[in-house]
Amino acid sequence: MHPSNEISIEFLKAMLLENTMIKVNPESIDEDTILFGEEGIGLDSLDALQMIVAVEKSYGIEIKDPATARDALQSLGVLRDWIQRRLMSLPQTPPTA
Amino acid sequence: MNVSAFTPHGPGFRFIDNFEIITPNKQGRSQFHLQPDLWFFAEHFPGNPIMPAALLVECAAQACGVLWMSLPENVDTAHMTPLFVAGIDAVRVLGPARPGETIVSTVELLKEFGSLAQFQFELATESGVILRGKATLSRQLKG
Repeated sequence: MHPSNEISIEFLKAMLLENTMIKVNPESIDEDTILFGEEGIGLDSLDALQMIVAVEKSYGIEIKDPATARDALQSLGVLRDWIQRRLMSLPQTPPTA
Repeated sequence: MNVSAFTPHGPGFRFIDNFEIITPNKQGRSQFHLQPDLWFFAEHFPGNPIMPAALLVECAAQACGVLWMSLPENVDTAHMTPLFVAGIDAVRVLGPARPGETIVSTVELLKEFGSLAQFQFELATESGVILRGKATLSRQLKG
């Protein structure tokens, strides 16, 4: 899992570019850009699956249902905040000696 | 396992002879023996028959589909559930599959999500690993 201080828009944007079929200029994507649907940059359900798997791999957070994914993947800013909230709610692992 | 109950493919386009579950709900393995008289060997290539890479990917996708349809929630409707390849990622062809060899496809379910499921696959013959990659299958054919 990445340390929580890597939950940056830059990191999530790199994840987005690596795992999805972006059809717009990446420089036009910021934290408020809507990712899915006609009002967004046109990502689809397959892109959502790729992002979910990437988020799970990077942060150890499981996204089980499409409704949760729709909420979390609205934009990079929403995703960052969602990951932060989820990580804070996870049980803390005591440091090892 | 009776493979024909878990895949909609006709026998002429089924690249699985048998399938076994390795880890329930997670990992499985299929075998497909390459009979020398298979329809594609004569033309691909004359004098140097190898299984086309696109069909190796199809072989992997079919094994992924059988694993998906063998999950407890799918098993009752598997025979009437058409599956479609929605995406293929990170594929590497590492060697040929030749007549007389047996392809062993090891597939792992990475994520099931709505109408989609993503898998990791590795195909091998007696000569070693020939194909690796990821496949995403869908229950829906996108228009």
